[in-house]
Amino acid sequence: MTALLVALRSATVSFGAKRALQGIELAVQVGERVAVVGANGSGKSSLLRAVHGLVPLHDGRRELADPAPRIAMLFQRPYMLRMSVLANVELGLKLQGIAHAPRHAQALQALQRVGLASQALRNARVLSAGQQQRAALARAWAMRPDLLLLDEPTASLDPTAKREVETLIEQFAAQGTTLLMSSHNLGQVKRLASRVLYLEHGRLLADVPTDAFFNGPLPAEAALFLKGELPWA
Amino acid sequence: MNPFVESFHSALQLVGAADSKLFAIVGLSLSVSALATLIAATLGLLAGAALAVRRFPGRRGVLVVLNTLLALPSVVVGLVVYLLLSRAGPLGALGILFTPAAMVIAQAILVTPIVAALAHQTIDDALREHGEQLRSLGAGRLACALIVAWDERMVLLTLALVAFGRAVSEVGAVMIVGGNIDGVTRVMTTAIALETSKGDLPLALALGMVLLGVVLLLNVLIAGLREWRLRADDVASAAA
Amino acid sequence: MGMMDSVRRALVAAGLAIALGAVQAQPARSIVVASTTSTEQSGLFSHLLPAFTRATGIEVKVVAVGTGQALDIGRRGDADAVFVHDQAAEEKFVAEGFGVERLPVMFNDFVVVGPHSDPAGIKGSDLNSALGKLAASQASFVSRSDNSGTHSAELRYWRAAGITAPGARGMAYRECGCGMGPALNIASAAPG
Repeated sequence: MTALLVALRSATVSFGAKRALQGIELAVQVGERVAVVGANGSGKSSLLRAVHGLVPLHDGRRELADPAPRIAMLFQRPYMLRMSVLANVELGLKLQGIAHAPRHAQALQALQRVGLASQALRNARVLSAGQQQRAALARAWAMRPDLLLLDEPTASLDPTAKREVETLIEQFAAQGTTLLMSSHNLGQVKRLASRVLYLEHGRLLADVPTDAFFNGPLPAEAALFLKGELPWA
Repeated sequence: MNPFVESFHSALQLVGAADSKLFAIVGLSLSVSALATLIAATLGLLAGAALAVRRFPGRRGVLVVLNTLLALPSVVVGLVVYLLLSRAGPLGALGILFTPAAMVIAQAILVTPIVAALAHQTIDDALREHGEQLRSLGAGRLACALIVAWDERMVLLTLALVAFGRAVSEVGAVMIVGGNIDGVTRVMTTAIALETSKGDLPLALALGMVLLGVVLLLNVLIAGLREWRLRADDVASAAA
Repeated sequence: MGMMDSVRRALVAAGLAIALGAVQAQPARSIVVASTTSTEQSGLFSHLLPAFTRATGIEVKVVAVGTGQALDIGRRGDADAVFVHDQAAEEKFVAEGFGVERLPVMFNDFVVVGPHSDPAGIKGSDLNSALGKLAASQASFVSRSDNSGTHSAELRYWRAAGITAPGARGMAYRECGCGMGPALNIASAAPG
């Protein structure tokens, strides 16, 4: 019986009149690698934010395991402050109140993990997009998250950078970090995910293991999406 | 062009003569306005951040009023502060009318809206773009505002320079609350106004050039400092 | 949280600095004298005050503004002495209880200043007839028009000469709302 990390029960998220998510039932277990797919505007980002707790639920509940899991998030375009890469990676730790010396050590270790130790003192803004995303990964990883949320993490990257970041994500998953990521890249989903969620207009229309998503029988809309025939929302 | 050239020469002569009175006046101008700017920058930044972070009823009204205060005439600020600090007024017991302290207060009131309105805009825009990522790192709302404010520090520095410029160049407020007392509250702008009212226009113009020259020097120093810092950053990163 | 602590500390330090600055005390012995721009620009104070300070040890701070404003400052109690040159206004000031005592110190001669060419032909006349000739002429006349002692005197003399509207008959009556220096500058720049 695997442990529950976080769950959404009948969750609804609204932005003004618009319903971004409707009646979502989702349970994420420890060690899973869940991918969320769907057209633009289907609610993928909102789902991730709802799981993280960044947006309030209009209706429904968000349940957390006890003790509450540490959650970190990676965004499509990482926000690097105008300071050194190291200082950026330390930011999350600083906000947690961790003292200077251990903070410094943890951040450096995270940078080594993603292969950016040599860039530690450079201004983060001069790094390439791929390097910045790896730095963001280091920033997230330095906080030792139980759950890593990724919002289209490689959408803005060139193929080489894409591969580098994917490799790192995979390594983190292999070490036991639970993943929940949204992606437009179905190949990436096939490579990384163990379970696929399909969203359309804020509703969860399919929730199946990866194998079943790509081969097995699917609800009509999901099947259409898969065939690439779904129009951009 | 003649009066300008004549005044320019006078300006150089004034500085060259190293008149201690002139230096005292310039020094007072700079210190009053610098202190006022410091106070305004602190209050304005906090107010701007608070407005960007808290959504309360009437917030839009406050922003409209703030933008209106950007057009506060300096002489009006002077009048209001004068009425407050006058012995016949509520704060008369402090006895700070006709002193540099009153001038600092008046100028601080004058330029705080500038910092607050523009800091709010800067922080609000930055939060819209990046606030979420900072919150995902665990930053509380006010912490987010201060982090982006630090990140936009170059913009805010320019803002502080704008505020300082407004303060050091104004004459209405310091004239009324300071009284342009020789040796005590006479600053560059009130000295220029005095010479103008005496009809000595070339001298007034010369003093104006001296004032601009001093502020120019200040800005050259600040620009130099930034260059030096940027270069130091590059060296550090190259050595890494 | 580490960062908020340093921010809080900085704020407290700044607050203390401001508080200390604001509690700046006045020098032990000083008085504020509200006077007029004309008086200060005449150089009278730079002549008198150093001697006064040497004799009494009291520093004199002169706030030089227009007569009207000087009296207002006195009314509010922001000045210890008021030094102006409008007898009527001064006597009213004391009568209304704002002033303790009125001491005559100086008097002004008011003169009408004009160009060498004397377009209105007033040179040598007494004030009454001079004003009459000016009002009837095409010349231009600059008035300070700023509620100062000079301006009040000017208005009194127009009335005394029986002229209610100085600009009515051809003379260009220019009101500048300014001080002595600028008024003289305007007059010397204007033709006629």
